[in-house]
Amino acid sequence: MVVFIHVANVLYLFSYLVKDILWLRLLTVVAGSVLLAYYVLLPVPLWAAIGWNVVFLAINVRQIHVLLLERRPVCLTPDELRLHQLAFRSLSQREFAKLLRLAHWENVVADQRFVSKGQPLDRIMVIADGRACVQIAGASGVELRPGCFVGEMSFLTGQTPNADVVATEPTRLVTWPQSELRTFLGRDAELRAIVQMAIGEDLVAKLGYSRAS
Amino acid sequence: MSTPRVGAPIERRIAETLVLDGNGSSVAVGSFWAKGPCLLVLLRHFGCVGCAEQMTELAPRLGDLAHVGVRTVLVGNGTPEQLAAFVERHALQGAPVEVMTDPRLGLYAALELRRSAWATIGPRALVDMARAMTAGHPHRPVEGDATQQGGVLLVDGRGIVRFFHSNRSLGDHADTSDLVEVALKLRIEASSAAARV
Repeated sequence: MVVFIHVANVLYLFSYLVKDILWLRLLTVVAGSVLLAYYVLLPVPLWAAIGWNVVFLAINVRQIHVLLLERRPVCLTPDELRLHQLAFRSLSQREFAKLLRLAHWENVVADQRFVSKGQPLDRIMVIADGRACVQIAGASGVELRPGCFVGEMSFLTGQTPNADVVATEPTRLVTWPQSELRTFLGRDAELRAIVQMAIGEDLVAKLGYSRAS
Repeated sequence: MSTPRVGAPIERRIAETLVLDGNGSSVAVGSFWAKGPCLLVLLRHFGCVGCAEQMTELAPRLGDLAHVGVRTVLVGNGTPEQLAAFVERHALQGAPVEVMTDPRLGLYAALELRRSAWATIGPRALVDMARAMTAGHPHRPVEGDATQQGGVLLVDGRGIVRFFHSNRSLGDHADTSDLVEVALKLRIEASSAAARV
C-alpha cells in the first residue's frame, strides 16, 4: 500500500520539474488519482482526504480541458482567412477566431444604403468583399474597399454618422454589435489594443483621404 | 486651486509650470500643447517599478499616439542624469516621445497628484510591486521623490483637458488603451469637415 504514496510523490516530483502547465496538470491528476486509490483502499478510508483530492482532480480536469481547447489548431474558412489578411493581420489567428465568434456576415446589394446619416449606428463593420462609398449630401466621397472599417467613428465617439454609406457593387460585410464588441474587448486588454491599432490605421488613412480630397 | 477637470480649460498656473529637458533647460508645460494635443505622463520617479510596468504598456503604443497626432511627453522627477539613464533603459531614443524632469515637483503639485508614503508602501502598493516584479520588472533604487505618485493629463490643442488620471498608488496607472481611445476621438474631432461614419 505504501508504494502508492511513493508512486504519487514521484509523479508530483516530475510535475514540479516540467515547465509546461498542461503536463504539470496531467501529472498532478495521475498522482492525485494514485493517492486517491491509497486513501480509498485503506482499512478505514480517509474520507476528508478523499473529498479534497476529488475537488483538486475536478479542478485540474476542467483546466486540462480548457488548455486542450486553447491549443487546438485554428481552422479558418477561406473568407475568414482573407478578412484576417485584409484588416486584422496584427491579430493571431486564434485571437481573430475569438473576435469572429461575435461577428455576423451579411450581404448587401449594389446601391443599397447600409449606413444612414443621422441614424444611430449600433454596429461596426468591415468590408470583406465588394466596394462601398461614403456620401455626403448625395456627393460621393471616400471609396471603401475590402478591409475598410465602417462605423468605427461612431463606435469611438458614440455619435451618429454625418454621412451615408452606399454599396457600389454587391458587397459582403462582417458586422459586430458595438455594445457586445466593447464588452468583449474590455475583458482582453491585448486584443483591445490590437483592434484599436487596426481601427486607428484605417481611420487615419480615411481622414487623410478626406482632407486631401 | 483644483485638479484638472475633463472638458474644462487647463489652468494657466499649470500651463506656466516649468519642467527641465534632458539638457537641463526650462520648458513651460503649456508649450507642449501649443501646436496640437499632448499626453503628459507623470512618473512616480525614474526608477519606479510600477512606472517600468506602465512603460512596457505605453512604449508599443507611442507610435499609435503619434500616428493620430498626439505628442507624448513623459515627466519624471530625478536628475537629468537619471533621465538619460531612464531613456536608455527603456530604449526611448528615436521613439516618438520626449522625456522631461521636474525635480522640484512643481507640475506634480500644480496637478495635485498624490504624495503619500502609504501609497508607496501600503498593502495595495506592495501587491502592485509584487505584480510588476513577477512580470519581470526589476526593483531599482529611488531616482526622484519616493513618496510622489504619478498621473496622466491629456490636453488638446485648444488647451482643453480631455483626460486626467491621478494615480492612487505605486502600481495604479491609466489604461493605455483608454488614452489611445481619447487620442482617436481627438483625431476624429480634428477632421470636422470630413465624413464621420
